[in-house]
Amino acid sequence: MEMSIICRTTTGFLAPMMLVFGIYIILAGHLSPGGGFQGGVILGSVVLLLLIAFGTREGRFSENVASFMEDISGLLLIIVGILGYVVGNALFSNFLVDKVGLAAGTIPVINVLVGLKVGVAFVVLFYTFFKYLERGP
Amino acid sequence: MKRMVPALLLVGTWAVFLAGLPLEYGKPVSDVATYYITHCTEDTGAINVVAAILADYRLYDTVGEATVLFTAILGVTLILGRNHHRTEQKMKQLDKLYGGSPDGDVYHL
Repeated sequence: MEMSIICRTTTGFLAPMMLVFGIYIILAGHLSPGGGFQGGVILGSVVLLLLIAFGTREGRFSENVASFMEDISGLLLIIVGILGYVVGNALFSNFLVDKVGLAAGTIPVINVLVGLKVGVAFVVLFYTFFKYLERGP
Repeated sequence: MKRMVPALLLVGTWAVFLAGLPLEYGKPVSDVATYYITHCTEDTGAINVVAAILADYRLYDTVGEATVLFTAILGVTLILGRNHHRTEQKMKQLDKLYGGSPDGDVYHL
């Protein structure tokens, strides 16, 4: 179930740019407007755009890998919080300020993890809807 | 007109309540907001105050937000992710194997 050639060409043209823009929004979240959630939504919409325009054929998208990525990033988020308790002085504290070359400490790390989690979460959510629509109620 | 009375009453009460509140916009009531704006960069090293609050001061809240998304996925996949066709096929197969119940009913609906 793929869309017309106009949609497919436009998607192929736009998707790489959106991908780079989403990564930029996440990585520069502590310096400029943006952050993990916003960049994650952009990254998720790239995959959704590709899924809508080119169709959800068998083997093109692995739901297990997406779920695994979401679980791992959520788990890492909590592990970073607990590390703040072990290494720093309080739960979820920023224990990396001005260390290991990270000026903003754990903020970029948290942004990357939240972005990954949010993006993959939206993809899995809408992929379930697509599958439901294709299969029929 | 009679139906409008509760709505008008509600709006009137709300307006009186809002007018009576001692709100001064632009002047934060608590000292926390002022602290965040003045100490954000030296505390966390981030220039973006919003990112500093979301990912440092209030990180616990952000983790809760991630949990909300996780719960949403859990609910959607529990309700819609099941393959109902497969269940029906299995029931039909069972009917074919055992020929329904002794009364002649078939098990699948």
